[in-house]
Amino acid sequence: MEKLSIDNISVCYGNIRALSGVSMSVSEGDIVALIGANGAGKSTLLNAIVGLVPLESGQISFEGEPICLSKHQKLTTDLIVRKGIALVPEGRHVFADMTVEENLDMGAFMIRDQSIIDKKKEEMYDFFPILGARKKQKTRSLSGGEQQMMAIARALMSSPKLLLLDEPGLGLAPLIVQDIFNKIKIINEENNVTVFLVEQNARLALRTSDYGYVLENGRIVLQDKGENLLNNERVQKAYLGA
Amino acid sequence: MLNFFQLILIYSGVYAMMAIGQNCITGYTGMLSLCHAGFFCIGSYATAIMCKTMGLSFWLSLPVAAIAAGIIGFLIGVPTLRLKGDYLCIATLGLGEIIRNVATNINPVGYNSIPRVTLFGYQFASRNKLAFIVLIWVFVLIFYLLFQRLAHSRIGRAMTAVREDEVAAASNGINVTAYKIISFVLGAAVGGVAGCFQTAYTLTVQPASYTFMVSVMVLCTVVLGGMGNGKAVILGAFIIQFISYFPQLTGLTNVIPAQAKQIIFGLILVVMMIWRPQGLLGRDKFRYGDPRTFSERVSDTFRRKGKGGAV
Repeated sequence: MEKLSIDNISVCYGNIRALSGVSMSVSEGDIVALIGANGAGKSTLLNAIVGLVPLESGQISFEGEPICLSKHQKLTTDLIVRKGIALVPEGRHVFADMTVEENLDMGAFMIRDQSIIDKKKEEMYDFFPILGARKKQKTRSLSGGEQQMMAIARALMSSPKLLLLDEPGLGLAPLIVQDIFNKIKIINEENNVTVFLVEQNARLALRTSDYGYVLENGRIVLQDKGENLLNNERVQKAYLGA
Repeated sequence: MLNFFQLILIYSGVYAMMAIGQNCITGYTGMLSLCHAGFFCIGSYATAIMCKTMGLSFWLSLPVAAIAAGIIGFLIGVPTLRLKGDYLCIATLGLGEIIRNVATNINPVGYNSIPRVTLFGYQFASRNKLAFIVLIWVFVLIFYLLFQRLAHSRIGRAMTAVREDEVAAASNGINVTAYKIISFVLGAAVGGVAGCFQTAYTLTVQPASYTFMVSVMVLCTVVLGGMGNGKAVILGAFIIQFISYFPQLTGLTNVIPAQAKQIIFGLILVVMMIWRPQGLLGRDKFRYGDPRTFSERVSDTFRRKGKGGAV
């Protein structure tokens, strides 16, 4: 079943066209990766899904229900998020002056039942033990990898059906990136969360994902199963350095 | 001398109220707004017009002043709150001046001899400062408690998130625009109430008392005390009022010109931003996601105090 479907969308920043006629779909239970160079429009696409940037044309639907139509017919970000989409923004965007625990509480803003929040927090501390150890610490004092894990944990607090990850490996050491991707795989398999991720590290992203898209200059140029893309000559040449 | 201290207490009460409003906007939600003088002006004028022209009671004009300032806050807020940082600051600064200019054009000399406040047959005369001190500080206390409660609530939590990171707040399901407007309207309403009390004490209103300097003074109060800390802004109001009446208090009006306070406020803002950006007392630390209810929290506080006494 299609969880998220993006139908021929275009996004402009003033005169500059960032995305033109992009169509793609994310099936339930999959990990889907979007790879592309800097400036290809990857983050714009994710931001468009949660309504942070308006669409010029086209439509985005979640679970068959349109969430973004065009400039004047889109839900606000908070309403889109409430439908069960969680975004881990690029550059993490943690609440730096709050403790880890308070950040997780913020992630559960939409949940009003305290017992569920406490249960979710315990789950997160079990899943990311480093966060449990640092729960009273200000997020500012965490390392980049820890902050990224916290950003993911915060997004998971609302029990989303679809998790959007914008460059989870940004600025992190290869070992940490590997660790984060392993966690993403576990989240996808065990909690049955559909994952859509955008990543520069094409090899790792495609190896982890079921399906992949390649974005170049605001257009989808290739799409295939993850492993097929890994063996694709064009992808190898442009993104894998082979 | 005593007279002066009482006067300072009255004015610091009025400014404490304004600072509580400004703190809601700047301290909790992190919007740099510079039009509190405008809300102050609207509150004062609403009271003056209702009491003088319409002959209504002060107590009726109090909620009207709050609502009028709140509505204007909403009208200003909807278009300007999309702006950030310096841009919001400039836009609100301009709107504050517009309010003052409109007031000047409606009635350039303002209103005089506004009827006095009466409560259960008791008349608050301006020379009886003690009665005014009690009246104003009771309201300061009420607003302090209300906003303290607000800061601890779900709304306060959302405001904090908006202040810290708008993108993160939105992606956690917080309606950023709505909470910004709520915060702005509430802050404006308290500013209106402060204007109401100012009118009740001075019994005159004139457009010249709502200049840009007032907005700066209120912002200065919040920055000096500590943004996002209710107690701190009240302390700030004391200090700022004490500084502005210092020449009169010490009889040095010949030596220190009245304009000197403007220099001092500017210096306070600069010095605080460099050396102690968190203010004298710093930000209030809340524990969000506290599972206890408000009444449980209060009773816990007392229980802890009781234990301390026993030991």
